[in-house]
Amino acid sequence: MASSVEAQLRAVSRYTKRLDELCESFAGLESKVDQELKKLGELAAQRRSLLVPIETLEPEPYTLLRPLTAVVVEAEGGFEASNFDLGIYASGDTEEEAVANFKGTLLDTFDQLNELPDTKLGRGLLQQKGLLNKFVRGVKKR
Amino acid sequence: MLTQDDAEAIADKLGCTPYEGRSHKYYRLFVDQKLVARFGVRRGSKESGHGHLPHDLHITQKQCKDLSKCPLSKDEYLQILRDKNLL
Repeated sequence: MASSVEAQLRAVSRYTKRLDELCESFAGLESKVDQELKKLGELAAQRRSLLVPIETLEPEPYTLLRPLTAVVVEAEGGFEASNFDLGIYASGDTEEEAVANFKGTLLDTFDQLNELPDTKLGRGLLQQKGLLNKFVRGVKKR
Repeated sequence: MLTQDDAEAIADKLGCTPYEGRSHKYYRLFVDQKLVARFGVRRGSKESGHGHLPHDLHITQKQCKDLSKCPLSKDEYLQILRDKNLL
């Protein structure tokens, strides 16, 4: 009789111990899931984008032959403005600064690529020059 | 986060030529007398993010860090451009 009770107590003790282990393991998993959800939330916030139509390059003496769009996203410690097709990317501390830097980068890229003959450009930049020339026209200096 | 220091370390490692633009200072990489990559550095922005660098250099953010901090060499970087048919 006594040994039977003892055996039952041992079994209960084993189950309790196992239950504690499972609870601990579950708490660990719950913490990991919370961390991953937090990371996903941060990524989603970073990926929230704003589409900014660019219709003019004034006051710079350049003509935009067709309107284009800059996609502005929040990035590490600031904002990034880009146009994937044209391969133009710029950063800024604010959305406005990112868009202003985007326009500056667009024109700097246009100027730098057009200063060089096609034979002096790698394949990637040659392709970018061709695309940029479909969007931007520089005003010739008199 | 990629910073101005990273950009300048990369420019130094790749042997880029500086070029002054409107709002940015640019670094240009010439290979066999051809311009193959260029990237801008925001003036007076030591602590600001330069998230555009991976796009300009046609590599990932990690590869950019590796290029800046050492593991990725100039030859390995050029091989990446070659593999992407950008040279």
